[in-house]
Amino acid sequence: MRFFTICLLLLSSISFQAHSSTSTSEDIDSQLQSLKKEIMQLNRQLFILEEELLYPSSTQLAVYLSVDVGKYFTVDNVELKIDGKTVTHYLYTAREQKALSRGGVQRLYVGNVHSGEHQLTAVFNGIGPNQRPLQRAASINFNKAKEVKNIEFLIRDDEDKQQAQFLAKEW
Amino acid sequence: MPCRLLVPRLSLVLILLCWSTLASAEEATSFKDLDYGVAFFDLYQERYYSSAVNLGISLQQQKLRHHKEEAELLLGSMLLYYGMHDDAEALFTRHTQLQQSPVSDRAWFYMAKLRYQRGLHDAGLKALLNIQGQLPDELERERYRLQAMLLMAQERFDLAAEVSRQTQSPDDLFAQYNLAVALKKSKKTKESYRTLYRLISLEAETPEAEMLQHKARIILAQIHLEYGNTENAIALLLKIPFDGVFADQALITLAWTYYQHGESASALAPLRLLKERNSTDIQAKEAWLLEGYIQEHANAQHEAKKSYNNAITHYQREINKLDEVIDSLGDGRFLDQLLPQLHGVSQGWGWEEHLDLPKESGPYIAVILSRDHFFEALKNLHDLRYLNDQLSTWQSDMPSYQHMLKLRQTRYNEFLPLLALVKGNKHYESLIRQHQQLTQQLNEIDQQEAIYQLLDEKAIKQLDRLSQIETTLEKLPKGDLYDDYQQRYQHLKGLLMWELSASFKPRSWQRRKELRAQQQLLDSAAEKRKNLTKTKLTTPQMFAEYEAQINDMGYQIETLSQRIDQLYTLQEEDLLEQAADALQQYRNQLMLYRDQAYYRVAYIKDSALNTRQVQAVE
Repeated sequence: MRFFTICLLLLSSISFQAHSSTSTSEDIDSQLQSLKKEIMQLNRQLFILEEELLYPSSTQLAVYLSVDVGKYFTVDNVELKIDGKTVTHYLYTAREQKALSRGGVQRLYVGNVHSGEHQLTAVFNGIGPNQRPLQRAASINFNKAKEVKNIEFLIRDDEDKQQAQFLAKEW
Repeated sequence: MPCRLLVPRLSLVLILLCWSTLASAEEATSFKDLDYGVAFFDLYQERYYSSAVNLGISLQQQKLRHHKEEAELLLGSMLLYYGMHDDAEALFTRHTQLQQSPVSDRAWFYMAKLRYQRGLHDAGLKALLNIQGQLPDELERERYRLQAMLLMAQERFDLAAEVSRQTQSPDDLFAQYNLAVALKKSKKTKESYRTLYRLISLEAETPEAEMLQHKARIILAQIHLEYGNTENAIALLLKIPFDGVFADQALITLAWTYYQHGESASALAPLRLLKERNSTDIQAKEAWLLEGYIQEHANAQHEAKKSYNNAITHYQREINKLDEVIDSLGDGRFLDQLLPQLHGVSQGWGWEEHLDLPKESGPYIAVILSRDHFFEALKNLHDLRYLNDQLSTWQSDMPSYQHMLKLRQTRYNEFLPLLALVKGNKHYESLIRQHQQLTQQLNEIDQQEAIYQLLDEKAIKQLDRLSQIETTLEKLPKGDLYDDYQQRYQHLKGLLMWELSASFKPRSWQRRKELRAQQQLLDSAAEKRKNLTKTKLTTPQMFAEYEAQINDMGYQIETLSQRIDQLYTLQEEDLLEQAADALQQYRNQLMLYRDQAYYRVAYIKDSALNTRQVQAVE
């Protein structure tokens, strides 16, 4: 008859009952959660401190890039110029291109500029319609005051013209 | 990795993927806060941790005015992914308690998910009941799947089957499988049977789906076996690869099925295969015992006794090896091989798929890993390693922060002489005085309506010419010509005066406007001077605060590192305890099998003795 037991075990998969060391585990879990929280908070503080030290709001300029659909242009790289001087040259990975085309917004550049009038130019290199290499630029004049200046470059599909538009706007 | 572990982890990743789907369904440019879009840029690249950190910063800095609720929910789901259940729960709870939160339904969904993970099945179901409307497509499907799983966890299989039936999609293999299991558990075997057959007839597009189909085949074979349809059971089991994940279960069921079908010789083949596989699966271990059992019932007592003796030897050897492995857990070799692999990988899940398991514990590592809790403990160690690595990086970054601060201080010191120069420059005060004088003058002119004031160049020239004419006239002899010139002069003078009088107010207004513009410039200069003075006064204080902040962070890092070390040791001990416990339970099971084999050998011997005695008596 003992074999019936074995057979029953065969038909219903055997699983060991987890040992009830739950109190230790719960304690560890709770401590770990608390550590994670504090470390995430510390991470935020460090990020803010770094930004405050390197880019005070009175001089901070943040440049963003977003793509609306991206059917007519796939950005390969972008060169950013402030008052004609190149400040960054960014090369995109396929993953980043995909993230942009899905609607993600990239914080392309953070830097410092003096207060007053400036010109910001982005030169985009990429693939246009019919897989042809394409270079386009967008510019914006802005006045830097004591608040953080946020500027977004937007590459938008223009269905009527069957091409991409390159726009810039202040936030 | 045990298949059942895939489900909760996949569901966590799915939650985050759902976010991706939800967001991309909207217009790409619909982000009204740049920082929210930035969080998605990270999320789409599966950089969940940086997305969570940035989102937390943006929320803290109140940069997400338009997407606050959505952002908090997203942050909550990412915290859930990183095992920060308490913080996630706090965020979700807040939204479930808000009267008109636009995300309350989703918050309830995540609460249910969280409670399911914590084993709070009743509370999970209650959370689902609070959902008022329809969730976005992906989540709506997930909602009913979750409801079915919660019901199954409560052993309310009828209801679970009902929910699964109503909501399952015919091409969703996992949903079909859950439905079949719920139906079988609620004794609706025929329906379960039909569902399972439908499931195995679908095309498996992923290795996971293929595994699920094999699992379904085993259940189907068991149903056939219950109803005595051994041929169908055999046909199903033969479709399962004998070198795959379900090989042990398939082989043992096949052996049993052959035996039921009266084919004892055929039943021995899968058992021998199983023995050769030398798997640590406890079901596979039964093969040693079952071989003897089948032979015994086929009246091959001699072979049966031999098989039972082989089983005893095998089990004893395994028990001895297990004792060694249990001892080896204590000397650190097990963890030495396992833990270095957790170094330098990000938090969350995914790392476990690439884990190279320690050879020290031989094949028994599978026994240890079969416990869900062991993986949780391993994940905790992994997370602690990650956190420690992160803290080490920050610790080494601290001098950079000091350097940044020094740089700012240097720039400030360079700026001080410039500030002194600005403060010492009297030009500003003289400009203020000039402006005040001009304003005073204009007021007087306005009061006196002095039309000869505030003249432009043209009017001044005209006045000069009139004056010259008057001088010339004075030199002319009196007479008719003089009278005529005098009359014309008076006429012109009258005209000019009228013109100057008429244009007086616009001229005055224009001057006032110019003075106002100057006043604005002076105000702006005053503001800048004020700011400069304020900067001069507050900057040293600010530097001191930054310095204190950097020092405090350094101290925090040190303290956190110590706490991580302590927790790491605690978790290591817990992990080893669990491993030892799993092995011990496995050992006990083997001892049970060994004793059963001893019993059968004794029984056969007794039977043989009895038979001989009966024969002798006869």
